[in-house]
Amino acid sequence: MTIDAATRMAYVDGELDEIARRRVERAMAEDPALAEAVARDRRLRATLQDRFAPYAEQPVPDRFKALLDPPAVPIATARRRARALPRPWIQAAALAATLVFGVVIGQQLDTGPVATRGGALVAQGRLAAALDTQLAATQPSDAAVRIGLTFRARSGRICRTFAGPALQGLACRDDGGWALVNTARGERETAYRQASSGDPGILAAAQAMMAGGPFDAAAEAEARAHGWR
Amino acid sequence: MLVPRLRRFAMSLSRSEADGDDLCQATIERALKARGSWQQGTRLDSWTMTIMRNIWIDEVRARTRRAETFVPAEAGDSVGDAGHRRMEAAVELDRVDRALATLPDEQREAIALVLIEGFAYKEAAKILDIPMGTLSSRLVRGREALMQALGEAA
Repeated sequence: MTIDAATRMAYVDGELDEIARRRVERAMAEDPALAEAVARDRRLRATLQDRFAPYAEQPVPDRFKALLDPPAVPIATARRRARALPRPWIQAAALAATLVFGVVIGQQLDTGPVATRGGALVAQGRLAAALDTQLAATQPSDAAVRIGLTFRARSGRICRTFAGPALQGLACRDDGGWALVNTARGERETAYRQASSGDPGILAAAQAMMAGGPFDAAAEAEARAHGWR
Repeated sequence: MLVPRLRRFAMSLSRSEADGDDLCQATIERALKARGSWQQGTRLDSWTMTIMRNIWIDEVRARTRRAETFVPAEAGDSVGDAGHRRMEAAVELDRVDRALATLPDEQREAIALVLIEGFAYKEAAKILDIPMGTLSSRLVRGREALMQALGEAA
Protein backbone atom coordinates (compact mmCIF):
# COMPACT_ATOMS: atom_id res chain seq x y z
CA MET A 1 0.00 0.00 0.00
CA THR A 2 1.62 3.21 -1.15
CA ILE A 3 0.63 6.59 0.21
CA ASP A 4 1.73 9.39 -2.08
CA ALA A 5 3.00 12.72 -0.79
CA ALA A 6 -0.24 14.57 -1.62
CA THR A 7 -2.31 12.07 0.35
CA ARG A 8 0.10 12.06 3.27
CA MET A 9 0.03 15.85 3.43
CA ALA A 10 -3.76 15.95 3.05
CA TYR A 11 -3.84 13.61 6.04
CA VAL A 12 -1.71 16.02 8.08
CA ASP A 13 -3.90 18.93 6.93
CA GLY A 14 -7.05 17.15 8.10
CA GLU A 15 -8.44 16.92 4.58
CA LEU A 16 -9.09 13.19 4.33
CA ASP A 17 -12.38 11.45 4.96
CA GLU A 18 -12.57 8.72 7.55
CA ILE A 19 -11.81 5.82 5.21
CA ALA A 20 -8.79 7.46 3.61
CA ARG A 21 -7.58 8.54 7.03
CA ARG A 22 -7.72 5.00 8.36
CA ARG A 23 -5.84 3.78 5.33
CA VAL A 24 -3.02 6.24 6.00
CA GLU A 25 -2.95 5.26 9.67
CA ARG A 26 -2.75 1.57 8.82
CA ALA A 27 0.06 2.26 6.37
CA MET A 28 1.87 4.31 9.03
CA ALA A 29 1.68 1.41 11.44
CA GLU A 30 3.40 -0.84 8.90
CA ASP A 31 5.86 1.66 7.51
CA PRO A 32 8.09 3.58 9.95
CA ALA A 33 9.42 5.74 7.11
CA LEU A 34 5.90 6.94 6.37
CA ALA A 35 5.24 7.59 10.05
CA GLU A 36 8.44 9.62 10.22
CA ALA A 37 7.41 11.61 7.12
CA VAL A 38 4.07 12.41 8.76
CA ALA A 39 5.91 13.56 11.89
CA ARG A 40 8.10 15.80 9.72
CA ASP A 41 5.02 17.27 8.03
CA ARG A 42 3.50 18.02 11.42
CA ARG A 43 6.71 19.64 12.65
CA LEU A 44 6.77 21.88 9.59
CA ARG A 45 3.19 23.02 10.27
CA ALA A 46 4.10 23.77 13.88
CA THR A 47 7.28 25.61 12.87
CA LEU A 48 5.39 27.86 10.46
CA GLN A 49 2.58 28.49 12.91
CA ASP A 50 5.04 29.41 15.66
CA ARG A 51 6.77 31.84 13.34
CA PHE A 52 3.61 33.81 12.55
CA ALA A 53 1.52 33.29 15.68
CA PRO A 54 2.87 36.48 17.35
CA TYR A 55 1.16 38.67 14.75
CA ALA A 56 -2.23 37.13 15.47
CA GLU A 57 -1.66 37.52 19.22
CA GLN A 58 -0.39 41.09 19.29
CA PRO A 59 -2.96 43.79 20.03
CA VAL A 60 -4.30 45.48 16.92
CA PRO A 61 -2.00 48.40 16.08
CA ASP A 62 -3.58 51.82 16.54
CA ARG A 63 -3.43 52.66 12.85
CA PHE A 64 -5.97 49.92 12.13
CA LYS A 65 -8.15 50.82 15.07
CA ALA A 66 -8.31 54.39 13.78
CA LEU A 67 -9.35 53.11 10.37
CA LEU A 68 -12.17 51.11 11.83
CA ASP A 69 -13.21 53.64 14.40
CA PRO A 70 -15.86 55.80 12.75
CA PRO A 71 -18.35 53.00 12.08
CA ALA A 72 -17.16 50.79 14.95
CA VAL A 73 -19.76 51.74 17.53
CA PRO A 74 -20.30 49.43 20.49
CA ILE A 75 -22.52 46.52 19.56
CA ALA A 76 -25.36 47.44 21.88
CA THR A 77 -25.43 51.00 20.53
CA ALA A 78 -25.32 49.77 16.96
CA ARG A 79 -28.26 47.52 17.60
CA ARG A 80 -30.27 50.28 19.23
CA ARG A 81 -29.50 52.62 16.38
CA ALA A 82 -29.95 50.05 13.68
CA ARG A 83 -33.34 51.30 12.53
CA ALA A 84 -32.32 54.92 12.40
CA LEU A 85 -29.15 54.39 10.38
CA PRO A 86 -29.12 54.30 6.61
CA ARG A 87 -28.33 50.83 5.33
CA PRO A 88 -24.75 51.35 4.12
CA TRP A 89 -23.80 52.52 7.58
CA ILE A 90 -25.34 49.50 9.20
CA GLN A 91 -23.29 47.35 6.88
CA ALA A 92 -20.17 49.33 7.64
CA ALA A 93 -20.81 49.01 11.35
CA ALA A 94 -21.45 45.28 10.99
CA LEU A 95 -18.31 44.79 8.98
CA ALA A 96 -16.18 46.87 11.30
CA ALA A 97 -17.59 45.10 14.34
CA THR A 98 -16.77 41.79 12.72
CA LEU A 99 -13.26 42.90 11.94
CA VAL A 100 -12.71 44.20 15.43
CA PHE A 101 -14.73 41.93 17.65
CA GLY A 102 -14.97 38.84 15.50
CA VAL A 103 -18.74 38.70 15.61
CA VAL A 104 -21.40 39.68 13.16
CA ILE A 105 -23.94 42.04 14.60
CA GLY A 106 -27.53 42.05 13.51
CA GLN A 107 -29.66 39.03 12.88
CA GLN A 108 -26.88 36.50 12.85
CA LEU A 109 -25.84 37.36 16.36
CA ASP A 110 -29.02 36.09 17.91
CA THR A 111 -29.21 32.89 15.93
CA GLY A 112 -25.53 31.96 16.28
CA PRO A 113 -23.64 30.70 19.31
CA VAL A 114 -23.23 34.20 20.75
CA ALA A 115 -25.60 36.88 22.05
CA THR A 116 -25.03 40.26 23.65
CA ARG A 117 -26.06 41.06 27.17
CA GLY A 118 -25.44 44.53 28.52
CA GLY A 119 -22.79 45.06 25.89
CA ALA A 120 -20.94 41.84 26.79
CA LEU A 121 -20.86 38.68 24.73
CA VAL A 122 -22.47 35.58 26.18
CA ALA A 123 -22.87 32.03 24.90
CA GLN A 124 -26.31 30.93 23.84
CA GLY A 125 -28.00 27.96 22.17
CA ARG A 126 -25.91 24.91 21.49
CA LEU A 127 -22.73 26.50 22.76
CA ALA A 128 -24.34 27.43 26.08
CA ALA A 129 -25.77 23.92 26.38
CA ALA A 130 -22.37 22.36 25.74
CA LEU A 131 -20.73 24.59 28.34
CA ASP A 132 -23.47 23.73 30.83
CA THR A 133 -23.60 20.00 30.37
CA GLN A 134 -20.65 18.56 28.48
CA LEU A 135 -17.69 16.99 30.29
CA ALA A 136 -14.37 16.81 28.50
CA ALA A 137 -13.86 13.30 29.79
CA THR A 138 -17.11 11.87 28.44
CA GLN A 139 -18.05 14.02 25.45
CA PRO A 140 -18.55 12.15 22.19
CA SER A 141 -15.60 12.49 19.83
CA ASP A 142 -17.89 13.97 17.18
CA ALA A 143 -19.55 16.52 19.48
CA ALA A 144 -20.36 19.73 17.59
CA VAL A 145 -18.81 21.79 20.36
CA ARG A 146 -15.90 20.25 22.20
CA ILE A 147 -14.90 21.29 25.67
CA GLY A 148 -11.17 21.61 26.33
CA LEU A 149 -9.93 22.80 29.70
CA THR A 150 -12.06 23.57 32.74
CA PHE A 151 -10.47 25.57 35.54
CA ARG A 152 -11.10 28.04 38.30
CA ALA A 153 -9.89 31.51 37.45
CA ARG A 154 -8.14 33.68 40.00
CA SER A 155 -11.34 35.79 40.02
CA GLY A 156 -13.10 32.73 41.51
CA ARG A 157 -15.24 32.03 38.44
CA ILE A 158 -15.15 28.70 36.67
CA CYS A 159 -14.00 28.99 33.08
CA ARG A 160 -13.94 26.53 30.19
CA THR A 161 -12.29 26.53 26.78
CA PHE A 162 -14.39 25.29 23.89
CA ALA A 163 -14.00 24.65 20.17
CA GLY A 164 -16.81 24.48 17.66
CA PRO A 165 -16.98 24.65 13.89
CA ALA A 166 -17.60 28.41 13.77
CA LEU A 167 -16.08 29.66 16.96
CA GLN A 168 -13.64 28.64 19.64
CA GLY A 169 -12.92 30.47 22.81
CA LEU A 170 -12.84 30.80 26.54
CA ALA A 171 -16.02 31.36 28.55
CA CYS A 172 -16.44 32.04 32.26
CA ARG A 173 -19.53 31.33 34.29
CA ASP A 174 -21.23 34.25 35.98
CA ASP A 175 -24.75 34.86 37.26
CA GLY A 176 -26.19 35.44 33.82
CA GLY A 177 -24.56 32.51 32.05
CA TRP A 178 -21.31 31.97 30.19
CA ALA A 179 -19.53 35.22 29.43
CA LEU A 180 -17.11 34.98 26.52
CA VAL A 181 -13.70 36.16 27.57
CA ASN A 182 -11.79 35.32 24.45
CA THR A 183 -12.84 34.01 21.06
CA ALA A 184 -11.20 32.90 17.87
CA ARG A 185 -12.23 31.52 14.53
CA GLY A 186 -13.61 27.99 14.82
CA GLU A 187 -11.92 24.80 13.90
CA ARG A 188 -11.89 23.89 10.28
CA GLU A 189 -14.99 22.20 8.99
CA THR A 190 -13.30 18.89 8.41
CA ALA A 191 -13.86 15.43 9.79
CA TYR A 192 -10.34 15.17 11.11
CA ARG A 193 -9.43 17.16 14.17
CA GLN A 194 -6.14 16.87 15.94
CA ALA A 195 -6.69 15.81 19.50
CA SER A 196 -4.68 18.51 21.14
CA SER A 197 -5.42 21.32 18.72
CA GLY A 198 -6.66 24.58 20.09
CA ASP A 199 -6.06 28.21 19.39
CA PRO A 200 -2.72 29.12 21.03
CA GLY A 201 -4.05 32.57 21.96
CA ILE A 202 -6.94 31.06 23.84
CA LEU A 203 -4.77 28.53 25.60
CA ALA A 204 -2.42 31.32 26.62
CA ALA A 205 -5.36 33.39 27.92
CA ALA A 206 -6.60 30.40 29.90
CA GLN A 207 -3.19 29.78 31.39
CA ALA A 208 -2.87 33.41 32.39
CA MET A 209 -6.23 33.35 34.19
CA MET A 210 -5.87 30.01 35.90
CA ALA A 211 -5.62 29.67 39.65
CA GLY A 212 -3.87 26.34 40.07
CA GLY A 213 -4.12 23.78 37.28
CA PRO A 214 -6.96 22.65 35.04
CA PHE A 215 -9.61 20.39 36.58
CA ASP A 216 -9.28 16.65 36.23
CA ALA A 217 -12.31 14.56 35.26
CA ALA A 218 -13.55 14.24 38.86
CA ALA A 219 -13.24 17.96 39.62
CA GLU A 220 -14.96 18.78 36.35
CA ALA A 221 -17.91 16.51 37.16
CA GLU A 222 -18.16 17.95 40.65
CA ALA A 223 -18.15 21.49 39.29
CA ARG A 224 -21.04 20.60 37.00
CA ALA A 225 -22.95 19.09 39.92
CA HIS A 226 -22.58 22.41 41.73
CA GLY A 227 -23.82 24.46 38.79
CA TRP A 228 -20.32 25.70 37.88
CA ARG A 229 -20.15 27.84 41.01
CA MET B 1 -10.87 38.75 15.67
CA LEU B 2 -10.05 39.19 12.05
CA VAL B 3 -7.53 42.04 11.98
CA PRO B 4 -4.81 40.05 13.80
CA ARG B 5 -5.32 37.22 11.33
CA LEU B 6 -5.18 39.64 8.42
CA ARG B 7 -1.89 40.94 9.78
CA ARG B 8 -0.55 37.43 10.09
CA PHE B 9 -1.50 36.62 6.51
CA ALA B 10 -0.02 39.95 5.36
CA MET B 11 3.24 39.15 7.14
CA SER B 12 3.48 35.70 5.63
CA LEU B 13 2.82 37.11 2.16
CA SER B 14 5.17 40.07 2.39
CA ARG B 15 7.69 38.77 4.96
CA SER B 16 8.22 42.30 6.18
CA GLU B 17 6.49 44.06 9.05
CA ALA B 18 6.32 47.44 7.34
CA ASP B 19 5.05 46.04 4.04
CA GLY B 20 2.72 43.69 5.84
CA ASP B 21 1.10 46.46 7.83
CA ASP B 22 0.73 48.61 4.72
CA LEU B 23 -0.85 45.68 2.95
CA CYS B 24 -3.13 45.15 5.89
CA GLN B 25 -4.18 48.79 5.92
CA ALA B 26 -4.87 48.80 2.18
CA THR B 27 -6.96 45.65 2.63
CA ILE B 28 -9.08 47.10 5.42
CA GLU B 29 -9.63 50.28 3.42
CA ARG B 30 -10.67 48.38 0.35
CA ALA B 31 -12.85 46.01 2.36
CA LEU B 32 -14.71 48.91 3.95
CA LYS B 33 -15.12 50.58 0.57
CA ALA B 34 -16.31 47.37 -1.07
CA ARG B 35 -18.49 46.32 1.86
CA GLY B 36 -21.55 46.26 -0.40
CA SER B 37 -20.15 43.25 -2.23
CA TRP B 38 -19.74 41.19 0.91
CA GLN B 39 -22.79 39.06 1.57
CA GLN B 40 -23.72 38.51 5.17
CA GLY B 41 -23.67 34.84 6.02
CA THR B 42 -20.64 34.15 3.80
CA ARG B 43 -17.19 33.88 5.25
CA LEU B 44 -15.79 37.31 5.97
CA ASP B 45 -12.29 35.93 6.52
CA SER B 46 -12.11 34.37 3.06
CA TRP B 47 -13.54 37.50 1.50
CA THR B 48 -11.03 39.85 3.12
CA MET B 49 -8.11 37.52 2.50
CA THR B 50 -9.09 37.34 -1.17
CA ILE B 51 -8.99 41.14 -1.22
CA MET B 52 -5.63 41.12 0.50
CA ARG B 53 -4.18 38.58 -1.85
CA ASN B 54 -5.41 40.52 -4.89
CA ILE B 55 -3.88 43.74 -3.59
CA TRP B 56 -0.67 41.90 -2.89
CA ILE B 57 -0.57 40.61 -6.44
CA ASP B 58 -1.68 43.80 -8.17
CA GLU B 59 0.36 46.36 -6.34
CA VAL B 60 2.94 45.10 -3.91
CA ARG B 61 4.46 42.41 -6.06
CA ALA B 62 4.64 44.77 -9.01
CA ARG B 63 6.40 47.33 -6.83
CA THR B 64 8.83 44.76 -5.55
CA ARG B 65 9.69 43.83 -9.09
CA ARG B 66 10.51 47.42 -9.83
CA ALA B 67 12.65 47.28 -6.70
CA GLU B 68 10.66 50.02 -5.06
CA THR B 69 9.79 49.77 -1.44
CA PHE B 70 6.96 50.91 0.70
CA VAL B 71 7.43 53.99 2.79
CA PRO B 72 8.44 52.62 6.20
CA ALA B 73 5.79 52.73 8.92
CA GLU B 74 5.89 55.92 10.97
CA ALA B 75 8.01 55.95 14.09
CA GLY B 76 5.98 55.42 17.21
CA ASP B 77 3.80 52.83 15.54
CA SER B 78 2.91 50.21 18.09
CA VAL B 79 4.87 47.63 16.14
CA GLY B 80 8.08 49.58 16.18
CA ASP B 81 11.70 49.00 15.52
CA ALA B 82 12.24 47.28 18.82
CA GLY B 83 9.76 44.55 17.90
CA HIS B 84 11.27 44.31 14.47
CA ARG B 85 14.78 43.89 15.79
CA ARG B 86 13.63 41.36 18.34
CA MET B 87 12.04 39.33 15.58
CA GLU B 88 15.11 39.51 13.42
CA ALA B 89 17.41 38.61 16.26
CA ALA B 90 15.87 35.23 16.73
CA VAL B 91 17.89 32.77 14.74
CA GLU B 92 15.09 30.27 14.37
CA LEU B 93 12.72 32.89 12.92
CA ASP B 94 15.42 33.93 10.53
CA ARG B 95 15.86 30.38 9.40
CA VAL B 96 12.13 30.00 8.72
CA ASP B 97 12.00 33.33 6.88
CA ARG B 98 14.92 32.39 4.70
CA ALA B 99 13.27 29.07 3.88
CA LEU B 100 10.00 30.81 2.98
CA ALA B 101 11.91 33.26 0.82
CA THR B 102 13.10 30.40 -1.37
CA LEU B 103 9.54 29.51 -2.38
CA PRO B 104 7.86 30.78 -5.53
CA ASP B 105 5.01 33.14 -4.59
CA GLU B 106 2.35 30.72 -5.78
CA GLN B 107 3.61 28.05 -3.39
CA ARG B 108 4.13 30.45 -0.52
CA GLU B 109 0.58 31.80 -0.64
CA ALA B 110 -0.84 28.28 -0.72
CA ILE B 111 1.32 27.31 2.26
CA ALA B 112 0.31 30.49 4.12
CA LEU B 113 -3.41 29.91 3.68
CA VAL B 114 -3.44 26.22 4.59
CA LEU B 115 -0.56 25.71 7.01
CA ILE B 116 -0.51 29.09 8.75
CA GLU B 117 -4.08 30.38 8.42
CA GLY B 118 -5.62 26.92 8.70
CA PHE B 119 -8.01 27.18 5.77
CA ALA B 120 -9.49 24.00 4.33
CA TYR B 121 -8.22 23.16 0.84
CA LYS B 122 -11.59 24.03 -0.67
CA GLU B 123 -11.62 27.49 0.89
CA ALA B 124 -7.96 28.16 0.07
CA ALA B 125 -8.48 27.10 -3.56
CA LYS B 126 -11.40 29.52 -3.76
CA ILE B 127 -9.35 32.39 -2.35
CA LEU B 128 -6.53 31.71 -4.82
CA ASP B 129 -9.00 31.00 -7.63
CA ILE B 130 -7.31 27.74 -8.60
CA PRO B 131 -8.55 24.13 -8.83
CA MET B 132 -8.11 21.90 -5.77
CA GLY B 133 -5.60 19.70 -7.61
CA THR B 134 -3.42 22.70 -8.38
CA LEU B 135 -3.56 23.78 -4.75
CA SER B 136 -2.66 20.29 -3.59
CA SER B 137 0.36 20.04 -5.86
CA ARG B 138 1.56 23.52 -4.83
CA LEU B 139 1.28 22.44 -1.22
CA VAL B 140 3.32 19.32 -1.90
CA ARG B 141 6.06 21.13 -3.83
CA GLY B 142 6.10 24.03 -1.39
CA ARG B 143 6.43 21.78 1.61
CA GLU B 144 9.14 19.67 0.05
CA ALA B 145 11.12 22.81 -0.80
CA LEU B 146 10.63 24.20 2.71
CA MET B 147 11.82 20.99 4.31
CA GLN B 148 14.87 20.98 2.13
CA ALA B 149 15.63 24.59 3.02
CA LEU B 150 15.12 23.82 6.71
CA GLY B 151 17.39 20.81 6.50
CA GLU B 152 14.55 18.34 7.00
CA ALA B 153 14.72 16.78 3.56
CA ALA B 154 12.67 13.62 3.23
